[in-house]
Amino acid sequence: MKATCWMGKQKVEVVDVPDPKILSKRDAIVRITSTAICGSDLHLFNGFMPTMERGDILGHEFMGEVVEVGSGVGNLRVGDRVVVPFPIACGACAACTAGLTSLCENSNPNAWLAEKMLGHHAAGVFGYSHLTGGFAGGQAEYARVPFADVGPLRVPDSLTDEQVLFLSDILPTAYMGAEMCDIQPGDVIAIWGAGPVGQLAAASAFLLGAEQVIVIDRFEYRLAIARDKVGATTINYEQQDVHETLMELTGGRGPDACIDCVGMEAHSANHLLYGMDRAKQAIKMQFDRPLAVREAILACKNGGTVSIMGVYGGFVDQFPLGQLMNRSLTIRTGQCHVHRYMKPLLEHIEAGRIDPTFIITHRLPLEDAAHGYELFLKKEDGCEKVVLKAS
Amino acid sequence: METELQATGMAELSVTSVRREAPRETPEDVHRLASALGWFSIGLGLAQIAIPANVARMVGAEPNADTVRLMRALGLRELSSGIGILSGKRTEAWMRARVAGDLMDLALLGRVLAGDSKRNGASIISTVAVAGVTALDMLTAAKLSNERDGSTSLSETTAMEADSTDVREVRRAITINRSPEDVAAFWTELSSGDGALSEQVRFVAAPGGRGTEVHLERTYEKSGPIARMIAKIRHDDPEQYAFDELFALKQILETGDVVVSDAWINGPHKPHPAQPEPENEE
Repeated sequence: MKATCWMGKQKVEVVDVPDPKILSKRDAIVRITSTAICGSDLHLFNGFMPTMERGDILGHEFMGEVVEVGSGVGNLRVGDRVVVPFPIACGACAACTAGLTSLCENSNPNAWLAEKMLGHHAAGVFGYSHLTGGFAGGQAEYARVPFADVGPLRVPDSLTDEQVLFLSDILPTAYMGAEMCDIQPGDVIAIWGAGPVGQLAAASAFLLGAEQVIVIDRFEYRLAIARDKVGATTINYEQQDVHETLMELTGGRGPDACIDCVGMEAHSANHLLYGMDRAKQAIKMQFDRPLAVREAILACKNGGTVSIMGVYGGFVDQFPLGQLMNRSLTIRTGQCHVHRYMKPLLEHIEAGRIDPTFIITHRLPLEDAAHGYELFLKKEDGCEKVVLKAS
Repeated sequence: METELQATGMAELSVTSVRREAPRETPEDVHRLASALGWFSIGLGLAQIAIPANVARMVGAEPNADTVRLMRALGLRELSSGIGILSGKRTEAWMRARVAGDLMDLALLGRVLAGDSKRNGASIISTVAVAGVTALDMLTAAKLSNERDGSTSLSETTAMEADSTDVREVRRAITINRSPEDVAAFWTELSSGDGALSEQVRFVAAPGGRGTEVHLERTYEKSGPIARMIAKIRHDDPEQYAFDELFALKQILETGDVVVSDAWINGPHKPHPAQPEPENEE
């Protein structure tokens, strides 16, 4: 089959690899129809996540048709059309039974290393380094889905691939980011990053009853999407001072909650600050550039919530802990527990309350995945979200 | 291994095991090899002290006064490690001394090679020979160390436990979403004991109805730094083993299988890229 493989820093290639096979009775094989490039794939692309190997199949946002099921998968049949959640979850451990499927205690075969790096290990993830288990990803023609009796969600034929594809990751991720803000009537929510997750988090915040949503980015075309498609207020941080503008927009209180949808490769209008963080990251003094989350913590109202959905990998320098402590802020974060959001969000989509297709700007055949990565990375041609058509 | 399963309280079961037999063959060959290397040390040492200039020429060095003095010092070093190995006490430590000596010799030969010598051919041959001996020494030291891990009789075990500095303790705990009885029964099926001197496993009901806490404690005879290094590379360090064993126990009891990924399908020894395996590698 054809699959998008990581071939080194800033190099992906679509190459021929062996077809996947059933390895365990709870596996299923899915013929992939649509898959997407995630912002977090760019962290892999850029070489910021450790434990990548040349030849790793990328991709954790995918859907398709079930073509084979193991003997232990009673709830799926060949021919079912499914969306696959990006965390792999057994459904039986304490974390899974508590609904925290991205913390599945059983699904990461490389738990030993993950525990050394993170303190405890988390779930296995498709196509996301060997630290999360070394599972082949879904930017391919086929994928093996472990615990297929737990993860894949059957979707009705009345909905198109594009309407439901993002149930695999970014829609639940964005929704969880907004849900963690515990939005009350009248709340103002500020969101750092107008990428796909930022856009969908803004839409989710409105869905959850926010009065106003403010989206912060530096790309005008992305801010335009947030304004036109979501109805958000926007701040271009290269033209406006973020903190000052936020205080102005909130009567000096600060946003009731802030959502970081940027993560480890943040940029800043303050070039000195950016340069220092970039240098520290380059010489491995810190894992991530916490520029957006720092700003979010400083801007958040006293007693407010900072929700971190951007991906981070490890230790950071200059984290505003005192600011957090002295102003009674709450930090909420986590890789999305996709499984628990899929059904309710599918209902929202079916009822027309949310339509995530507005973020799609590019539709490419799987063979052009490398071009998709380039467009997405360099923000060329107004790129917001790339969907790859596998078959 | 003898195991004893007993209920120690309302919600606690424990299995205590003490290894009574050697888990592996006692490799007499290793000792024979160590002795041979000991005699080799003595022979070389005597030659270096008695005819230092000849030995220097043999390895391609200029036989000047400095070289002769150095050669005699090296001879003394060889003699002492040879006698140490043949004394039969702390053989492994003396073998490590030989390894250190080999590395020193290799460094010195490197300097000879770098210098302007007409006898480079001799130096190259000597370097290859010393490198070969070094490999043999390292292997023997590692084997001696590995052998210690498994071949201790019960009486030695007791003695070892009394002197805690010579015992390595490995502890690991995991919580499994099943009853203590289920977990204990399955553990006795699954566990191999990993060649530990002693093993104690307690199965305690986790608070809040969260299943069973498995507390595993094993003691091993302390291995040397080389053996530890090799064990790490080969992923068979006792700590890793305890982790893997408890993780597999949890996976099987909670999910019915051990979870494999594309990259880890052949175990931690042979990770490969995260893509399906080709047919012919099955």
